[in-house]
Amino acid sequence: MNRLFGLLPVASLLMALAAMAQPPAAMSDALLRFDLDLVDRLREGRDFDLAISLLKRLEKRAPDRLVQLRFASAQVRVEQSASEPDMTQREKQRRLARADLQKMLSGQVSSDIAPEAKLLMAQIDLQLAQSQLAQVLPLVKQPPNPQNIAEKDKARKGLAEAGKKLNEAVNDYQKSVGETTGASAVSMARQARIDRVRLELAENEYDQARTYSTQREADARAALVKKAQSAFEKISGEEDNRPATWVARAWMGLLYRENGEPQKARIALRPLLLDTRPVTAEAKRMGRYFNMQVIKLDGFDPTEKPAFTPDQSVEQMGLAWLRDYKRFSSTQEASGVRMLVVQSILGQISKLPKTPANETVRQNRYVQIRQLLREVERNDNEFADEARRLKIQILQEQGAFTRKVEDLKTFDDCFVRAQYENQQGEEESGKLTDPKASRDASEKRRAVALVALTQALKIDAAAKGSAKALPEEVNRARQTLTYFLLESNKYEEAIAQGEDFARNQPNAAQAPGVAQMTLVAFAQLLTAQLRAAQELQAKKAMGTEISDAAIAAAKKLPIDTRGKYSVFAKYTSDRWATEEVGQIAKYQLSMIRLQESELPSALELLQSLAPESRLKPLAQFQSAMILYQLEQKDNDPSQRAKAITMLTSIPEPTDPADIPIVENFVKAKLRLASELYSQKKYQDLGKLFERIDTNAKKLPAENLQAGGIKDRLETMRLYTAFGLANEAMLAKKPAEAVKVMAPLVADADKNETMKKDQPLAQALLKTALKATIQATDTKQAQAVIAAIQALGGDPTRDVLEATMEQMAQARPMKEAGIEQARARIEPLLKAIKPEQLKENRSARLLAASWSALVVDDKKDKKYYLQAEGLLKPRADKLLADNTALGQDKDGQVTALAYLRLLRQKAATPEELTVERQLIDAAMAKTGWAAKNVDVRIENLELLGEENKFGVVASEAKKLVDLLEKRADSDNYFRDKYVEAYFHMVLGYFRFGKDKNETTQISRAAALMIELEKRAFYGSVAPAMKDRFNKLLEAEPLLKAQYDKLKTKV
Amino acid sequence: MRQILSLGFCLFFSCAILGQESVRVSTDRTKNLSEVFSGTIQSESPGGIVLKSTDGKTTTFSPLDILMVQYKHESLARLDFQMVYDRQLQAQTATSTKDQADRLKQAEIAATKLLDEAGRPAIVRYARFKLAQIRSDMARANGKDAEILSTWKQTALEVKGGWEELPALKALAEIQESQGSADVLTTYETMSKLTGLPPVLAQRVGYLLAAQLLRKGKPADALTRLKALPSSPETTLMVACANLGSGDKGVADLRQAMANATDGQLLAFACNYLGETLLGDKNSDDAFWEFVRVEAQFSGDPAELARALFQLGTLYDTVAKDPKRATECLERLKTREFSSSPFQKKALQSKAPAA
Repeated sequence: MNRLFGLLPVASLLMALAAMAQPPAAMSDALLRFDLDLVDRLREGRDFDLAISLLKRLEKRAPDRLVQLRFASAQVRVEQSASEPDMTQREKQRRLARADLQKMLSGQVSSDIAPEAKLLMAQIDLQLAQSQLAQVLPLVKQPPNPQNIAEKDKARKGLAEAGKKLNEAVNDYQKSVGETTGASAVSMARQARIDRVRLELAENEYDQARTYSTQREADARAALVKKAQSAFEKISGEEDNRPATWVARAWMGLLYRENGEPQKARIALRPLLLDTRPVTAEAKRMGRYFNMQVIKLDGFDPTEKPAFTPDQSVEQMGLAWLRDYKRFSSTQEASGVRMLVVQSILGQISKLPKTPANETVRQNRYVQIRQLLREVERNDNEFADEARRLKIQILQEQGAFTRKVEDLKTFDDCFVRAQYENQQGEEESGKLTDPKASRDASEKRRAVALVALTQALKIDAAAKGSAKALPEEVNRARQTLTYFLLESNKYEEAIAQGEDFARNQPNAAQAPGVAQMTLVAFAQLLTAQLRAAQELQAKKAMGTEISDAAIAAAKKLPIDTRGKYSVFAKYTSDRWATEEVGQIAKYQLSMIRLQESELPSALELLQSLAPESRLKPLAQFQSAMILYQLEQKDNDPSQRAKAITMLTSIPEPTDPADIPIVENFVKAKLRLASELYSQKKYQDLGKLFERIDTNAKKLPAENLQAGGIKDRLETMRLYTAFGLANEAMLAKKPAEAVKVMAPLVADADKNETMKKDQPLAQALLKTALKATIQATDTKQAQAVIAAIQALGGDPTRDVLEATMEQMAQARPMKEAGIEQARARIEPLLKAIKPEQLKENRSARLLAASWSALVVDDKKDKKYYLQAEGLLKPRADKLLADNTALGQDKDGQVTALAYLRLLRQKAATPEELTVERQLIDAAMAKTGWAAKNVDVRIENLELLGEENKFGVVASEAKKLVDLLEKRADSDNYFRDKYVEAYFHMVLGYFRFGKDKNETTQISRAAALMIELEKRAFYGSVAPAMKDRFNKLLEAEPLLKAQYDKLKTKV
Repeated sequence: MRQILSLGFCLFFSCAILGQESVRVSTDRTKNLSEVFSGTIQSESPGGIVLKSTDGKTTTFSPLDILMVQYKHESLARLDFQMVYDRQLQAQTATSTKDQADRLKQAEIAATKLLDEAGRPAIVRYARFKLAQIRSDMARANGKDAEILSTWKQTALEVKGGWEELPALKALAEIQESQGSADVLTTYETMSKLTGLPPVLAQRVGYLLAAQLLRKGKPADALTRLKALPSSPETTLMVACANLGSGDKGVADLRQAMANATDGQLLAFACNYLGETLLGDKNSDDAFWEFVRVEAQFSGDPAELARALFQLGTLYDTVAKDPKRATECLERLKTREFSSSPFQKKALQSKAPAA
């Protein structure tokens, strides 16, 4: 029951509070009183907007008085909301009032004022919850479905929670004010305040009951009605000098009827109807309304014999009520009375016999009904929808919708016709599944609606005096017209209509909404014009004959539009500076500046958006992007730092259903994530990415796809994992790295981003491989290998490195260690699918890994066989075409690897014959390896295995001589030279030793010393030097000669 | 028969009060409220009328509050005095120009009758004063402002010594001010030199003179005059107005003085004065609120209200971004309520905001 708040004048109340609560302040009490007096005057004149503006100014001028000023703001807004017919505006005012109170309570508030403010806030919360009720009440009558059940539950829950909070607040208030039973004015005012809240709480129980259907959910409804009844009963038993006592008695009457006891209801209400005392005034007003409900729905007291029918009586009583309570004409109660009158008139009409005379009566009554419904509609409350429905129904009965629009003569007829056409369009398009047919149906109806609306406004413009429609209705018609024009893509007309309204009716409730639509129309028009200009240019570029003048004209259009758009956005941002539409305008203005490359101006506008604006996070992201541009443009790194701060400050979206804000959050934080990655702040990155990912899941698929968010998100997921894994590896925590990577490894074959970004994917998986090996997580390592291969990668090099490392570590640990290492490595090698090794190099590396597991050539031959299984098929194929192999360097390396393997695995001299044949053929004059140094060195190795050390010496000498000149200048040839040299030394020594020729041994030793004198010897690979050292260690004869000659030197 | 009876009752009632004189005074100009006091007029002077009521109580009525006097006269009935006042009122609330002209004509005839039959100097002065009021309204309706000036100039001399002298001088000053005449200060000087004014009224005239001096850009002279007045929140207010030129402190002091003062008319002057000063400093945002204060809080003086409405006719558009409201201010200024204001002419000439 939309009750008016009985507010004291702001000035007197606040000055009393100030006197109690405030320390000495910069603004004197007298000055504050003087300003608050003006606030009161403006309130009295219902100049609420101006009163609020003044309070906002005072907040800036007297920050030390914020508490009082914000409380005053909240009170003004609550008072404003009580008489606001537009539901959106009403809610907005309540929310703003709440925000004022919240701001006030967030600061230092004295214990005197806080409970009062909290109580007001709780009352506002209840009012907000009640506005939800207005929306769900029509659903109560509809057949239940999951959606409307959920909505009703939500509304009921909202009311229950708000009621609970209000109850707590009133208890706190009661405690803070102490005893209220005294006869002083202050005590009585406080008691009245508490009583008012108690009534609201009782009514709240009934409101919750109303969300249940009387038929389908009768038990649940009855339970809540009972709760309401007991609350009202308690109040109704209190002192007769308290108005609340009487109001509760009126409510008791209504609830008796609700419980199916109309006679008790009549008896309870009767005394109120006759009472004339001031204390019962409010109760009487309500009692008269409730009594009408009883008569309309349950008839008269059976003991009475009235002269009129219930419908006739209710009509008379209702009209009398409306006449007596004009001050309440915009309340929900008045709407309820009007609806009762309408229903009573309809009841009377339905009983009229069909005669021409009655037809005239009927038409006249319809006019009367429409007038009443019009009033109900004006006050946007729970009865408005029903009123609209009834109005359309009546017009339909009157045949208004079958007439041509041109034949409609009144503003109201035209406006309702437009509403009807739009409603029909929505219904018809909803039934069609084909999108085009659905759109066409909707557009067809909208076209008629547009004509009807235009005509309505024309009629009203021509009308004079009382023939004119109510300004509120004309405003609604203009708002609807702007909306329809926008929906019909008639942007220029929408702009003309909307801008005119926004500029000339800025105080209308619809003005901010219309301004917003106009901004949208401007943006759409600009986009369309830019596109048209581009298309024209493209056509000309394709050869279509288009004059330069036409191109110039097409280019000029968007420039003109942008100019007008800019001016209107500026106007809107100034006019509604504190409202959301003002913030939207400011944001759009900044986007225009951005298009014009005016970066500082765009930045300034974006940063000036109010912190509470919904668009603030968008502005923060755009600001950051501009700062990045400025960094580039001005080469100023400090701009980057500012951009990062800006991105960091973007808060988590509070409403998951607000898709643009969630999307903005994801985009902005992805940008921030890339910064964190480059700064190697992987831990922060990991935490941030979790937040990004959580929010990204709230976005619809189409939003994720649009603008490449999904790609960036998935790439960042990889980078985040990569960063965290690398960090873990650096910290020598491979298990952690494995954990981070595991989800990516598991889905690697399905991960589109990994498929697209192979270098990143492979780098990531190889880190994972390294981590799994280090963490000795064989199973996971196998999974990583599978993932690498599934993505077309090659794990062989990494596996070889791991094998070498593991085996090198294992060798000193003898057999047990070696077996352990093999147990780790073997499953990895087996996990590599040879058929997926596209390159010979990969096969060679894998073969090398298998060979690396060999410790004892005889015992471990199985590993050579594994390696052979990999190399032989490839080598056979290569060796089959000698000529081709001669040209194929990679093939030659593979063939050589195979030859080496044959040598390594040969356990007997016979087994060496295969390699011998192949090498001889290869080194023949026309062989593929005639000039291949590596094969010649392999030949030296093989000759050694064949114990042909004389040949080794002579062949090696030839090779050394051949490489002599290039050894000084080319590292590759130097290495080969030293290798050949070793074989030469070995050959001479072994030949001398075998033949017992000391000179050959001396020669070998001398050659070693000669080599050591060479300038490049210092840079010879240690492994190679090691071979010489090992030879000396193994052969004392050679060592003795070497030492001898060395001493001489 | 019934008519005869009711006529008899009227005659009886008239006779009952016939022996008395009465004074109608304004009790609240904002709400157009007035009250009639009956008794015997003891004396008249520029300081007002002293009336002794039947219970022996003597009251002095300020000349600036007196709306109508019904003198005891042999040939003039109370109704004759009432007729002048009623027609004047009707002319003020007339719905058409013709109606207004008719009512003023009737008022003029009634006032001329008073003059013709007056005899006594007090009634002659009263009749001349009323005729001046009526004729200046007629001249204003016909756009003959020059006639108004000459009418009041002459009347101010003719009513010298009577209670009408002060209001006549005030009317003269107002028309001089609206026509930009340099003599306005002299008129106020004359007002301030009137003898026999009660202290409160003398003080009030002092404030009016100070206000004039301030509007003429003579704050030092205004300060000199104000120093001679007894201290009160209103004197402090006017002094603060005179000291307004001293930067932000001047504004702060004036605001504080406004907060302490209670006289609506002076507060309206101070708000307008501050508003206009702020406008001169190109601070239209702050100025706007001063004019709003006059419109919403101190709207009792039509001259000051007109001044504020004129400024709001622009500022509602430029500051509050409400062109409709700005137009409404200008439209209100064009109504008869402000017909004597020079700002009405300006409003008629000004172009409405792009509403």
